[in-house]
Amino acid sequence: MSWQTYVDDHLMCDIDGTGHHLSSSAIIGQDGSVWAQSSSFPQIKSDEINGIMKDFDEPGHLAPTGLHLAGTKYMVIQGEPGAVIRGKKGSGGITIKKTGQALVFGIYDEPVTPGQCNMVVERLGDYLVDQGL
Amino acid sequence: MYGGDEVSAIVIDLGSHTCKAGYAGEDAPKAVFPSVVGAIDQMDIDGTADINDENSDKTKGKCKLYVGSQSLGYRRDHMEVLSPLKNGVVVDWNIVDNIWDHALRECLLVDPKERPMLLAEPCSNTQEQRERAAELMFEKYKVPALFLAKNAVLTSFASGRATSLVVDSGGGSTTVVPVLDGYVLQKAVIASPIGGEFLTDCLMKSLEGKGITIRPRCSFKKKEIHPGNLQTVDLDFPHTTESYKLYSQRVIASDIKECVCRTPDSPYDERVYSNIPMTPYELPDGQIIEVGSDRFKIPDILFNPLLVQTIPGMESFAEIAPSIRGLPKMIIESINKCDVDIRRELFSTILLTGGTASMHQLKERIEKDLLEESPQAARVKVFVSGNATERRFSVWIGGSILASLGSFQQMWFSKSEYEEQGASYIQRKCP
Repeated sequence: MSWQTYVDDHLMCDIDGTGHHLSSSAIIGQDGSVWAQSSSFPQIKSDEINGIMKDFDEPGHLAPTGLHLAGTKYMVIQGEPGAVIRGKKGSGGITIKKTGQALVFGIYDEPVTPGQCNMVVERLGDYLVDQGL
Repeated sequence: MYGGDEVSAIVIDLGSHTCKAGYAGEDAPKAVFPSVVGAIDQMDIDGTADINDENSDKTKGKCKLYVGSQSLGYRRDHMEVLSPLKNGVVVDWNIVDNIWDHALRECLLVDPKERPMLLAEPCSNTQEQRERAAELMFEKYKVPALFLAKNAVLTSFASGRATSLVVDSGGGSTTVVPVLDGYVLQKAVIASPIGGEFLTDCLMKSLEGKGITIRPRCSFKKKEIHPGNLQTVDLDFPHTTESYKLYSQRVIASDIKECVCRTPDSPYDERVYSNIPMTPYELPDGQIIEVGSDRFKIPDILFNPLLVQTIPGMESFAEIAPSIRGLPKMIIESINKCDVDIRRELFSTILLTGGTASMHQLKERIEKDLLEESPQAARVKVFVSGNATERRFSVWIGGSILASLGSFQQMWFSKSEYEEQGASYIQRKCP
């Protein structure tokens, strides 16, 4: 099972049989290295990864400035301190879950709901945490 | 996935002061009753039982609970008045359970197994609290689906706006919450313990300091001495609890507040207001009192909490008053914690809601103070519904709208998901 398979089959899957799926997703190492990503996942910058990691260490760090991803700005809404960061942009948004060594990204837009994105991203994230990855 | 199109969901907003419950799709809650309950200790009638405050269900199995306006309106020996909440957080789930039970089975007359349930929750709700609510709903009430939505988001929804700054001045507290595209910006939430109940207590203490006694309705009755001539007769019930007396007095003081209080145009000044005309108010026992400067002083506490220090009997709050900020400062502080790109929009979409929002001239005063204290470029706009029902029940109304939307139906946290994934799944389903 390659990392790309996790992205293609588990992150970009059909959500609950609705025919909908995330806009893009990725599994990125906490050092910024790209383990796997969907074709349309944006080109993330190293300082953006650093900002995200800092927000996991100091929850609230990104709130006043927003979460940036390849130039796109998301407003930070309630996540789970140290474990999940959630952002919103219009009707879409982003969920980022931290695992032992990686960050799991899910980006969505209508008609996918925030709850659905959370389920997909955090389910895979939980699995990786259980595996110590 | 739960398909919720067949029946109307139930919407419940358990606030710190009142509980609102009703059917989604309707424009007002069917049931509105106090969030406090009467409790009579069944094991030790003298009330000397040692209550372990660490037990989150301290009333379970030990007390008989009385829920609803009617039950609370009837005096009983040894009946204490208890709240399930402390600082906005549930500390007694047994009371919450009894309140929900009263709302569903006695007020709405529904079987909860047949209807999805939308619960409004405070922004400060913890994950543990959410999971506890989910467990209770699925395990005891066996609801087919559940959703938890934050109060401020529902208020924003009720006004038809996805983004706003919600200023909710309710019974137990006042909160300022930025809502962006239907979600709370959690880091910018500001709360203060000054709400309607606090103002009522201040008014009560101030009147008592002037020698006025508010007699609970259960402490007297009126007897017709001669045709058309009523006389008040004292009744003596030595086993009435202090908490019940206080509850009864608060109900009356709250009505005085609503009838005579008005927000002053500018900061309250004792010298300016000491000579204003008095306003009469007739107490239930027939006594007519005159309310003077308190009419303006009490509401101004929302803006200047230091005024508490000048009210006799409020000493316990006088020490924390300096650390509490007034409403305009709370608003500006909240907006300044938000991203710079949305501050302008928040300043121009301030939603004032909650029971205390009905205070005369409150909106005008807030707008005036904000214009003076906000950045030069900000266009300040404060919205408050002209309809008293909408002001008071905006959270519930927002829930009613949300739970009726076709696009919302896929968002329910279903019973099968609960059974498969557990209560912690609530965090993902209802972000």
